[in-house]
Amino acid sequence: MKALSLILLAGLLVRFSVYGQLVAEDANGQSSILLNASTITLDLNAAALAANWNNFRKLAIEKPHQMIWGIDARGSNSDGVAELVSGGHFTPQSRISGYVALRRSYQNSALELLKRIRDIQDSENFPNEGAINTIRQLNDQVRNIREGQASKALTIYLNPGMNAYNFEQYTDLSTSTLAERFNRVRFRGAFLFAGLNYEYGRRWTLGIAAGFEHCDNLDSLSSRDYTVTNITVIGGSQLLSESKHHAYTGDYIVYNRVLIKTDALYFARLNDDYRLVWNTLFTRFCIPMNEKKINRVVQAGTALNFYKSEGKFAGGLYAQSNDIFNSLHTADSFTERISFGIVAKYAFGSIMTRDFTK
Amino acid sequence: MRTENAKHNANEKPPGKIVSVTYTLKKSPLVAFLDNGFSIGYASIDLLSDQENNPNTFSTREGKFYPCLLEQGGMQLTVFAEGKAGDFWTLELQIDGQNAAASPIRVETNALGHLDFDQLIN
Repeated sequence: MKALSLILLAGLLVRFSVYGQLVAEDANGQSSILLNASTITLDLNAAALAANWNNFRKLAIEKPHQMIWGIDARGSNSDGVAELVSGGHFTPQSRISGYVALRRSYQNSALELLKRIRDIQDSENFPNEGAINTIRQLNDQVRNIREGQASKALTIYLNPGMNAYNFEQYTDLSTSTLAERFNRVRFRGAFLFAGLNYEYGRRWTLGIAAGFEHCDNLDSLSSRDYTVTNITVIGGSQLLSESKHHAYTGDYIVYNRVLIKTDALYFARLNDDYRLVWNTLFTRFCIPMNEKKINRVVQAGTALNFYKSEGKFAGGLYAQSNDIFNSLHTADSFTERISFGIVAKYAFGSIMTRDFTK
Repeated sequence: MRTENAKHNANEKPPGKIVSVTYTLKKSPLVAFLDNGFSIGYASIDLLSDQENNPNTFSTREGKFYPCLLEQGGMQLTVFAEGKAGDFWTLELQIDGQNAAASPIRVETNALGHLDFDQLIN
């Protein structure tokens, strides 16, 4: 049934949205802060169910132009399994997004020569000595072209999506019963990003993405565990019943914002087994629209990501300032606004990654 | 058989013999092979149809082989590919069912982001 729901959902998105996939999402919620040198904690307890459909395998072949698309759906709950849609509604903690991209290679002259070679190879009398000599010459030309030209590629993409979660909010307004102080809030968010990636040579991939987001400030609220105890006394005995709540307190705001993300990846080979992907400088500009209670915030940081050479993610470290210009006045010293952490998943917010194994 | 006075005539058979070749090609994830940029013994290899479920592995389909030209000096292998620092591809070749002496061949990304190979192998 779940599989059927997923397929139906995919079908709906393909029809009403665009073909696509979010492949490079933020590490938010995927890692937690390195508290001190001896304590490392990973927030991996929110088990997730994820499903992907995409045509990324076609990227194994370089063509002058390629259309890339995909859909990414994921949900999580405390049981480790998730329904994405139930009764026609998004269930708590689900997210679905699409991705459609156009990739352009700058190897056109080499690709044209290789097409000529292919035409010779497909001709009737092949192989013969004349044809093979021609192919040798064409291969030499391809080599000459490439010896003076670093690899380059440009990708433009659109990335729409929706997310949903439910949580409990605690308000200390006077209510007739304590239980009424806990309100269930259903948040439904949406986003649309447009992005540009530029790959140059063996070292650099640069990315920028800009878009709108319907979001909330749940991240900045504080959460706490509550226990409401009811006592019923009958005769000489009393009955205790408890209900537990994990609830958020504070000024909860749902608003729209513009978000601009940039990343600059540097690739290096460490040894036969490991490679480094260094996000030298990433920035996130969060600009709220028509919402005075939310400040503009600029985040920036750097992240080292280690991969096994066959592509499996091996872990990473990051240093990030969540508020470069102290818009939130959380701490006056710049160094106090920097957080360090370890990364449990790649975190290139604006880069379209290929099939880096998650 | 190559004759001493081979004329480079379009209809003349090539110098060497046709052998049956099977292969397995593996790459790291960011490697992309140029379209039509993979030939063994001057036979074009159809990578798209040979791609396995793992998008980074390609191999000759079961029961299939490629007829490739084996010259006196060896077999011409041509690969043009792109990648990032730390990327590589490896190729295992069987000629008439026997592992080729040069197999496996491994190429890593050069300074320009290419993983090219164009030479005779044995």
